[in-house]
Amino acid sequence: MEAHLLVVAIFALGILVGLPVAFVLLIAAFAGLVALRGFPVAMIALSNMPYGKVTDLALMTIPLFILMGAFATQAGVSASAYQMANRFVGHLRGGLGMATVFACAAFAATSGSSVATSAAVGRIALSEMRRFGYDRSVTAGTIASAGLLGIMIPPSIMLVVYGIITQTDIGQLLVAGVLPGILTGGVFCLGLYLLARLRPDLMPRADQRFSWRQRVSGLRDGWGIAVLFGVIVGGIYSGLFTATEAAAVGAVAAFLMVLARHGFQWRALLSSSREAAGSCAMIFLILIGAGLLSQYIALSGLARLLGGIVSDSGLPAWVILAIILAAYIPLGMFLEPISLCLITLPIVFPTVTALGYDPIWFGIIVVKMSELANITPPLGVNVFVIKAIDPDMPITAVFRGAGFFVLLELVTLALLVALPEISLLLPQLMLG
Amino acid sequence: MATTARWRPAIMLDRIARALVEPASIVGGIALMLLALVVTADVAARAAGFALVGAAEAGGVLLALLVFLAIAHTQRIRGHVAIEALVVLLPPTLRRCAEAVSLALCLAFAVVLAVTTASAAWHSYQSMEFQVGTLPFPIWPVRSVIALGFVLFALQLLVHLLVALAAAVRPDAAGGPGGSGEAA
Repeated sequence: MEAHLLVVAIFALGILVGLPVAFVLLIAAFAGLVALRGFPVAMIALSNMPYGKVTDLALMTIPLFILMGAFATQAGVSASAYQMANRFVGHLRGGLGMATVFACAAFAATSGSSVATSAAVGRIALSEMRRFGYDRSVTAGTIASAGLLGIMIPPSIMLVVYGIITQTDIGQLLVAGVLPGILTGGVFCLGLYLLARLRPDLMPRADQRFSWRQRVSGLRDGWGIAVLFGVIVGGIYSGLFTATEAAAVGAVAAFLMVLARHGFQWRALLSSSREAAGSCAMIFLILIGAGLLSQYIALSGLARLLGGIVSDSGLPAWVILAIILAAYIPLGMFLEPISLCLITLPIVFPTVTALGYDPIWFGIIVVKMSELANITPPLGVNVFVIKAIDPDMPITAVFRGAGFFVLLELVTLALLVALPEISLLLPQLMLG
Repeated sequence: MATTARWRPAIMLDRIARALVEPASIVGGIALMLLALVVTADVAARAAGFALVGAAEAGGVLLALLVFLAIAHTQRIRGHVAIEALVVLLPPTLRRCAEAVSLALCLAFAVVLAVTTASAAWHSYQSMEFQVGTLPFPIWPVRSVIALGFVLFALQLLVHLLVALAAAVRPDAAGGPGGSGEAA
């Protein structure tokens, strides 16, 4: 019990002084291990954890997907995606908002990060929606929220991290993200259409028309997205590649796209790659901390204890699930998505699977909860991306706009919980 | 440089850190591109009907290089995610103190990590520890890269701590707590 109190106290101190998440996890877990098993055991665990993480071949997927996203951005995939989507739906009520959602969905197929998706599509979408007089708050909220598709539609870094922490098949998880991603995009578009009908002043109809010839010819701009999505989802689904191999081939394909569009620009390529390596370093340090915390939780028997409490409570499984999901909402307000998963999953995952829920389905639900964390105050990361793109935009306006999408996210979540087949259909077909 | 804590030891140390941390992160970036090529070459070789011996082992080394040689650079650009929900509510003086405490804790633990991983690398070298796989591959190079990464990380944290202390003690000499943290 003293060890648990010590760990909680260090978590509180870490939050109080603004410690990086990785250090909160490392210091708390290390102190917990010292209290449980003594200093020498804790030191051995600490010295071996970094080596254990870099020799876990599944973890290679993360840097390779990040690299692919960086190269795809450099190749101008986001601009192509927006122009392509705009030609098809831009003229409808709320059409520019829908075009932003479609463009984010398309860009999400080349990038595993919601922040990257919002940032890449955001610049183009913001100027277009402004040009046609869209409400500031709706514009900002749409871009911040449409970027969330980046962490559901494969390649999703969040699903890879979930797979690593819970030892769930990463290939199946990535394939499982396709239909929930499409559903989320569909619910967003429907919501925007209904809002535009109820409040036309917020989203004036854009005065632009494209012929079918122009639309079809515009599809050629999307070849890069189709190639990358085909390599990843097609490769994994057909069994041709593992998730790691798909990520590597995708990164090389994105690299070739950069070469085709801009020629060989060594400095730009190295800059993208270096930035991607920096992002990986941040994620891996958190993973090392989470690995140590998992060891502490395993040795302390905390997960077993909580599992026992849950099974003795006599509550129906769905009530326990609802309590867990409800807890994710306030936690998500203060933790960024990867940290949220890494801190909670070692405790929550054994409990949920013991209740009989499918690990693949739960992965999709956890990613959905992480999406909410990205747009809820005070730490909605995607909201700050919009602020970075447009420094004059009041942060309250972005959060107000994102609030509408929080409701749409809850609708999608309810559908995913009520109909697990949406998440499980493709992985089941994949297994034959 | 956005923030200027004009304190000579911090400036000197920052120059040393920059000279080490920046090239290390470039090596990390190159390692990431090589990792993509190695794994793709492995896939192509398998499709052609033969195995690329040593690809998995090379992948492990490249992963270590790209992650651990970039850790210090990520700190240099303040890229490690922190929970700052409470800190931003503090008055400026307390916020500067909280930043100094946070950096001191990080530095202390980074030194522990550097020492313990360096010790593990040394033991691995002394005992000629090998990884079992398609190729017998020595473990000490990977462990050494990990230790080097944490040494550079500790150095960068020390620079940031000195900047934060200078800002806490002499707010007039520093650019404020919200800057990039670069010392010169």
